[in-house]
Amino acid sequence: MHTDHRYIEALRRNDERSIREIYREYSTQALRWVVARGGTPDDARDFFQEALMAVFEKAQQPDFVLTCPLGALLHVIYSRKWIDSLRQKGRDTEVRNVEERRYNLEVSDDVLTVAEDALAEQSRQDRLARAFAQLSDLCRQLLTLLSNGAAPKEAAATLQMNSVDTLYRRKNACTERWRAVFLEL
Amino acid sequence: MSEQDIALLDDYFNGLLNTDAARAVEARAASETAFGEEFALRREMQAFPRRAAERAALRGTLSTVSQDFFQEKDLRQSPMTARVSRMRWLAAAASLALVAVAVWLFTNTGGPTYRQFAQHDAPSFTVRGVADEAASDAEKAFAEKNYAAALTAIDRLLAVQADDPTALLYKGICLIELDRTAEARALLAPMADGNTALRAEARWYVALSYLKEKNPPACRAELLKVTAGESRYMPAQELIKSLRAGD
Repeated sequence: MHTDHRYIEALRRNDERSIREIYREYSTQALRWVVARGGTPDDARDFFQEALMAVFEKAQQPDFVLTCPLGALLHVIYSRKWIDSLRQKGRDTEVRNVEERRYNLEVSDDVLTVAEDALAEQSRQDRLARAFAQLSDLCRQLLTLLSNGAAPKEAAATLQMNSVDTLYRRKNACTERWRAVFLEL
Repeated sequence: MSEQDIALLDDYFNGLLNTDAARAVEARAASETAFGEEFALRREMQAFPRRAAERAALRGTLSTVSQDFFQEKDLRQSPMTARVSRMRWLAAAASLALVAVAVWLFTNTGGPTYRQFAQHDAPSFTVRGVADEAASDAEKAFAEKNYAAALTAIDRLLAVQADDPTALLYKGICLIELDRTAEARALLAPMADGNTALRAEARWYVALSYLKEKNPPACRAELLKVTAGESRYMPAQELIKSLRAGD
């Protein structure tokens, strides 16, 4: 376990004081990196925040343990996000320049693996969120109630359903719809 | 995925299966790839709305905290780099003085001592709210070289801000000054091996703890880990030279 694993716990706990420490330690590096490539401080803020969110998604795996420095991990993630944003804007020459330099960076395989996992998990969660947003109000309300631990009887009463059986049938249909939209995205 | 399996997973996640049937589903999920992936997706979906709230809360915290960072002025110098730069400048200045002192001492005495090299910067703790008084007490006691009182105040500070790297570093210094060198190393070594801005400072004080114990080989081994460009590189090189001269 790397000593920076404490920051993973901080993200899991949403511990503002420790999160502030993460910003104190690593935000300037991100700011300089993004600004040096033509971005703005606001761009740097957004990419850094999204990098932290990606690490958070990875940290949702209960058995995840950080084995590399957080600074290196964040750097790989926000630089990938920066490259993706350039690609989306069609700035291919800049993409090539940044990527060439990227391959010259000394980053361990461990950092790259964790970064890729984190980005993949974030993308998966984003797809789930987009699919969830396409469900009806009733479906979203029902699934949220049950996810937050409401008893089925209580949820049925809240949603003015006649019985728990009706609630389950509706839940199954909502889940199937959600799954289908998710797999199409 | 068959209709039957979908219905089975529905029942599992609705809590409608008895214990044996539920265990059978879990065993299948562990042994059959396709069923296992579907099971994992359903579990993720089950948790998603709850996690969405946690995710939104974290995003809120990040948005709040980030307002204090990513400023134009940070491009010139951040508070942390300012502190580290100041340490670096002081370390460089100290190293020049130490060259003269060390040369004189090693031509006149037997080797470097802790006291010759232990020149501490005044601490400046970053604190919020209730930790203010503890920080102020710690800074005052440290300036007066009352390390026992400083240690007590730093412990009060750490009770509120357990991971504060500056407080941890100065706690380590206090412990060295109080001859509790092993405790100091237990505290400082993880910082020295980590990736924080105070890594080189922590390494330097681990080395000094050995110097205080009159253990030159261990001291030298730590000093060799301070790399060029780090804040304590120059003093570390001077101390290495002094240790060599004292051999």
